[in-house]
Amino acid sequence: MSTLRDAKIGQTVTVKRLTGTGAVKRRIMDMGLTRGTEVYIRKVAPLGDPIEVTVRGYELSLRKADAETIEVG
Amino acid sequence: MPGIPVLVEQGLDSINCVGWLKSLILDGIIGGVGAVLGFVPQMLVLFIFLAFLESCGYMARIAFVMDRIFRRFGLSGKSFIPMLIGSGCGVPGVMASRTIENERDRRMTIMTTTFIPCGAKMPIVAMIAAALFGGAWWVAPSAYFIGVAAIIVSGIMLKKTKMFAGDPAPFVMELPAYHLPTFGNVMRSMWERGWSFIKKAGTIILLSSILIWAGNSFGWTDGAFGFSTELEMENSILGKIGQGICWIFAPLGFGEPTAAVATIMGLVAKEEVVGVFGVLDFEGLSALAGYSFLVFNLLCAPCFAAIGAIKREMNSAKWTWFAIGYQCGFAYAVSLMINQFGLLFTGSVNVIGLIFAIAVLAFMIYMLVRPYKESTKLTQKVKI
Repeated sequence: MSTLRDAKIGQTVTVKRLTGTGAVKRRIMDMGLTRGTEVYIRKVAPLGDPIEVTVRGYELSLRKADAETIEVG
Repeated sequence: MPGIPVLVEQGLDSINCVGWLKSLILDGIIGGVGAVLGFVPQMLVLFIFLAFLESCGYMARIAFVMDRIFRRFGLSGKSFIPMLIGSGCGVPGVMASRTIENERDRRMTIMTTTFIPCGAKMPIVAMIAAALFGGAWWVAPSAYFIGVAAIIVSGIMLKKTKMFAGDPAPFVMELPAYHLPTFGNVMRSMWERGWSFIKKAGTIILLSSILIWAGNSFGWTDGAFGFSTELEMENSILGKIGQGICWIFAPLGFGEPTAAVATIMGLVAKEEVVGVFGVLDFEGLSALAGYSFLVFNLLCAPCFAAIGAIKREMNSAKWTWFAIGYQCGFAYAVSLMINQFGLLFTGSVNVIGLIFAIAVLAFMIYMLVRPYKESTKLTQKVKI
């Protein structure tokens, strides 16, 4: 199963499952990343870590470590 | 056209005010609070630009870009914003840490923000650079590099203590769409911050100005204690305190009453340091001791206004004291190392001091290379 971390810039993926636990998972779900949501990977920060995605019509920034807990298809 | 001090002096003269009360009102209250209020116009300009950056959506992007770097030493990208603002003034800098949700990250940001040289520390840098280094170009940039290095070193060291250890907080943050902020919004945001600064000038700075004034103008003349306007610095209460505590600074190279008094005055407002030295000259201060003095004043506890802001943002007396204690201890350790290792290269070695300096350096290196206690993965155990 691939995660949001592996997705390339410009791809549009769909969230399948959230593997995180506790506050992190809660925060990710709060921001609207739930099963079936379409996520468009917009850009990567100049230093390569946080990524910027478009989800439900707004921009969201995520660390790669957080993105790893989001399984996409 | 006469300014406020002149007008007030004329008014006091016309009602035959007593000497000490006149001095209190003119030198203590107007001099002290006025010095701080003089900062208000430039602070308001700073706040306008910061409010603009904030409401147009750029601040979130700075956090986005800087997160990778700050993550490495235990802070989040959002910690960059307080530090950026802190280069103007520490008070709004500390207040800007409010946007950090994670309590540990926020506390650590509050503790390290004031290491960045603020606007009021610039006169100290300029004074030392001009008086002791002949205006060498590298003194001012080195002050900023030391500030940044202090943040990085503190971040790494503190992250390894029990208080700050733990899983990294998630950095899941909305990046607002760019837009032109409304005029009213920018003005309101500017005024809120500016007003809270002015309020502090009227309370805590007023009180501390009066205390410093009393320490400065009461003292011993010919063996009798009392008020005098022509008091020599070494005979005043403040001068006596300086003589009493100056041994603390001896290992740092500036164990003189003047330097000690200047450091105490720096607590009211950092530019006061220049005022003390301005009249007393640099007798017996070598370039090395001067640099050590500069570094100590840059890194030690900030002015009362910023301490007040720290107190309010920490919302706990214990954490405020810990922050101040850490800043002073860190400043002391760094200045000690600068002075003792500097002496090693300039000839006159102080063996005991050098041993302490090496011990401090060894402890710092140990804290820096010690492995993290936290897990590197993003997992959090929840009790059910």
